[in-house]
Amino acid sequence: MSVLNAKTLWTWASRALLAVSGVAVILAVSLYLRPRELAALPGEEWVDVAPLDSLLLGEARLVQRDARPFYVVRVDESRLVSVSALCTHLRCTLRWERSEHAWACPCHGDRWNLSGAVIRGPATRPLETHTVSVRAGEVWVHL
Amino acid sequence: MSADDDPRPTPARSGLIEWFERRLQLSELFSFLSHFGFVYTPLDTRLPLRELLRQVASRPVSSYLRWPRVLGFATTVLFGVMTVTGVLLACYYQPTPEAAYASTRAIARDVPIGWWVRQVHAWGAWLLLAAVVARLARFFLEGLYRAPREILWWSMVAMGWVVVQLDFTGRLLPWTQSGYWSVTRGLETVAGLPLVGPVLTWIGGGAAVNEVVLLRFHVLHTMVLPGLFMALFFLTFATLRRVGLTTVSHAGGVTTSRDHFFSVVLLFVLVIGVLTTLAVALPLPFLRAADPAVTPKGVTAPWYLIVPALVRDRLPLLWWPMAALFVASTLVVFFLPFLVRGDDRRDALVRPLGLGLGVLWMLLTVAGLYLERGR
Repeated sequence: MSVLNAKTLWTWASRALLAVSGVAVILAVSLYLRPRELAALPGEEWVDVAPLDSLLLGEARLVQRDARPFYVVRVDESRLVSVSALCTHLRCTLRWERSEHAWACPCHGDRWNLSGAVIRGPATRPLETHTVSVRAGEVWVHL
Repeated sequence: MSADDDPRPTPARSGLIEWFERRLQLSELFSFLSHFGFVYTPLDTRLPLRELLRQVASRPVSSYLRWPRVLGFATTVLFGVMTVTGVLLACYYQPTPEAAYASTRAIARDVPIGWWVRQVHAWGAWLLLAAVVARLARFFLEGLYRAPREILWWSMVAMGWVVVQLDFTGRLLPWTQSGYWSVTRGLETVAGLPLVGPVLTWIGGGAAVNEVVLLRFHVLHTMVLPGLFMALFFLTFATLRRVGLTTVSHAGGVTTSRDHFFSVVLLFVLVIGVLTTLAVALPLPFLRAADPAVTPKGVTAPWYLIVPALVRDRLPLLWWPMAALFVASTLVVFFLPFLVRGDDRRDALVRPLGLGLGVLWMLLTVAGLYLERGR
């Protein structure tokens, strides 16, 4: 293969084209398949949870919203907190520990404080928090 | 068995292929895999793979990718494209009434390249249906249902059924308003057919669209029907190896397997190009989410069911005779090889009759689409 004639040029050009398109396809498919939280895909929205009066002091209400469950807890007369109900470790559904004022994961014993900061692992990321708003006596959560 | 009794020649080379050859029936494997669209001549699977490949490559083959035989290969290539894009879609799609629309919208809007995957899958469905129907028409007009091609004809008719059902089940999955109501109107019609109606609604999960039907359609669309389609490919190539390619319509043309392979790659690139062009230039709409409480205006049954749907709505007296005729004609199409049985006079009668009925059906469909548009 010492002489570069038209035939070898054509062979190598077609191999290069094949290689480039192969790499392009692999890149496109990996981009498409990049892991993401399925639940985070649908767009933002305000969700009407319940009338304020129906939430008792210290009660945490679990709201199943498609694949994005979240909690709303009425801490005291003037404070409402909403966090995602999915563990940031392996997405188990959390429990509200009323006496400790903490979120607990039943799968691996993770703990978060009221505002979603990690107290105990294996989870490392804080819980996603949602804005809560009360309008005309209704509790709304911004997802 | 001692080495001396082995009829196969000892492999001269000792490469990777030979390493596998000693541990696997490579030639059998190649023969099986090439049943899905690559080799349509008999293979001697007792030969070592290298020798078999050399034999296949050296054998002259009649050029396959020539109009109108390209239709069969276009079907294979399109089915491959649909399988790949379908698997990619299934990575994000969630088959429940709550999540179906949002997850499809996420694919079309938020996932990178997702719009392309969805558009190519949607346009590919139209092209696949067109290719299968055109191939069926071509085989009918050239009389290729006669012996010894009965199995070819049956597998092709069955492919037509499967591809229509793939289209029908696929319409529901995105859970859009138009898809939901189109399938609802289609299901009403199918459920009313004699004999096949109850069977099909039993398989489909019921006559009213709900979460059970959605899940059932998802399973049919992603597992059962593609599996059947693959089986029909196998059957097609298995009988082609026995009876050979058709000699009626092509004006000779001999090529090599190498050129053949090159044409296949070319056809593949062409199909991807056409689908991408359609996806960009004429994107299929993805509008509102399904609302089971509100029937929108102007939604019709799928085009292949529009004639029965219209008769059922507007000429209820004609429904039973027409539905019986509809079911009977599918049986007649299937048993065509037995009805004709090489009788030239019957054969000469069948083709103009079938052509006339086909054209009539198309005219009625177009008229039906026009009539239903204003509703």
